[in-house]
Amino acid sequence: MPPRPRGRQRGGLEREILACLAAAGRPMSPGEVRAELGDQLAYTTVMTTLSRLHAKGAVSRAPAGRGFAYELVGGPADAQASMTARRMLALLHGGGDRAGVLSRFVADLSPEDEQMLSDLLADSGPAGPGSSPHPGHDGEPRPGPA
Amino acid sequence: MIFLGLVPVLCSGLLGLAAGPLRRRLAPSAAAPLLALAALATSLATGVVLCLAGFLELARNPLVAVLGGWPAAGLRPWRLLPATWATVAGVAATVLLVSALGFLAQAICDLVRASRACGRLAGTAHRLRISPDEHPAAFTVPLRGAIVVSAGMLRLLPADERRALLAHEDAHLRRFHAGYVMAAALAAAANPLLRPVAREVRLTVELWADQLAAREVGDGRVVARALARASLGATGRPERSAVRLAAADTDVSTRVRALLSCAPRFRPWAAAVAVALALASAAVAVRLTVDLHDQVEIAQADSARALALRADDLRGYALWPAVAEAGRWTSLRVTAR
Repeated sequence: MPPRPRGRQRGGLEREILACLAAAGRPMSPGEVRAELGDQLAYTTVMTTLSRLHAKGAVSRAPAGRGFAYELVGGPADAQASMTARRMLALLHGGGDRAGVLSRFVADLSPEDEQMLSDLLADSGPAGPGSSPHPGHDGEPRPGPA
Repeated sequence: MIFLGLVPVLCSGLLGLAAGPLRRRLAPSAAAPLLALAALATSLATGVVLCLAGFLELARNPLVAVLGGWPAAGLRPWRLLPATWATVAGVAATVLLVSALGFLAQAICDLVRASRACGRLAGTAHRLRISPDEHPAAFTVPLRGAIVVSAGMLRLLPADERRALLAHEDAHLRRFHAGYVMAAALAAAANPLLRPVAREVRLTVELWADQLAAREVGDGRVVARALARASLGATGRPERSAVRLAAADTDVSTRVRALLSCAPRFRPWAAAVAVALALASAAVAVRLTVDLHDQVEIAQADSARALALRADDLRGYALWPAVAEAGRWTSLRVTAR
């Protein structure tokens, strides 16, 4: 097994839970969130973090079953937010004359890069490139130690 | 003296050539600040030396000489500098200064615009903002200290890779990576010889953030997979292939290789090369500035002495009655002075 993670930075779990809710795009119960994160988190930890996010107004909750289902505040179909996102992408993709103030996670690929990355994913993960993204898979099988 | 002036230019060129090898031999956390600072130092030194040479050319102008109070023939030891060289240096200094200022203005404008646009996104907690865009994108907005991730990107990645992505972006913010990138880019705008350095710094901060993300997640392969999935997901959009720098192409494969390989052996002495280049060009720039300052003072003093001698002569003439009468002063008053 790889060495144990060093642990999250402050706020790391909150961000991950928000990202998880955004990826799902639907209300989720703490149990579902925990299963999705798949990181041996205690149920109470997820629960506490969700209520903290709710207190901050980042997520909304509605009663579901015996507990609550949480959802990201501000649905993804916000027209103005879409405009804003376009504008920021324009800053990113403005071309060579831009100062490049935003550091992106990914750069562009050459065909060889693409091949190499596809091989990497094919070797190590079940979800190859081009396969439909599936947010609901928990406990992704890890590659054995190389 | 002339050849001393070429040292910063030479150092910039060498730093540009050495940037890649240095980056490969140093830990990213050392390479990024080192390269950025060395680039700033050599760039500044080059600018200073060019300005000095340009100033010498300007000093030959009679009007400037009169205003500055030195002989119009120029400053003495610097007459060695051929006029064409001095002119070229002056023009280069102007062009590069304009380029640097242009870059700075553009960068500040972009930063402010990105920050404003980011402010309009629905704010979520802990610096994370989720844009509703379907196109997979993730970046940091330095001025606002925000991580922007598109919903498309979040949907593309499984949970552990999302965590790696967020840790990567968080590392950018926590270690002020944007500062190093901007410093190196500014240096490169003011001195095109340093463009490779700016490119290496940009790659280095990505490697650095990858490293920190791998440490937080506990497995470099997860980060590599996130990178691969995100990159493949982000390509295949028509606009992306339109205008891009060719240099960015190999970055992803370099990063993936760094993540998958075991930690390379770092050689700290490589840092000495960058430090030496920066110090050499800074020392030359300071030395030449001090020299020129001294020469200007000497020339001004000489000039003043010559003027005083001429004034003495004039006073002698002024004592002649005929001259005094023509000038309408009494010879007595001039004598009193």
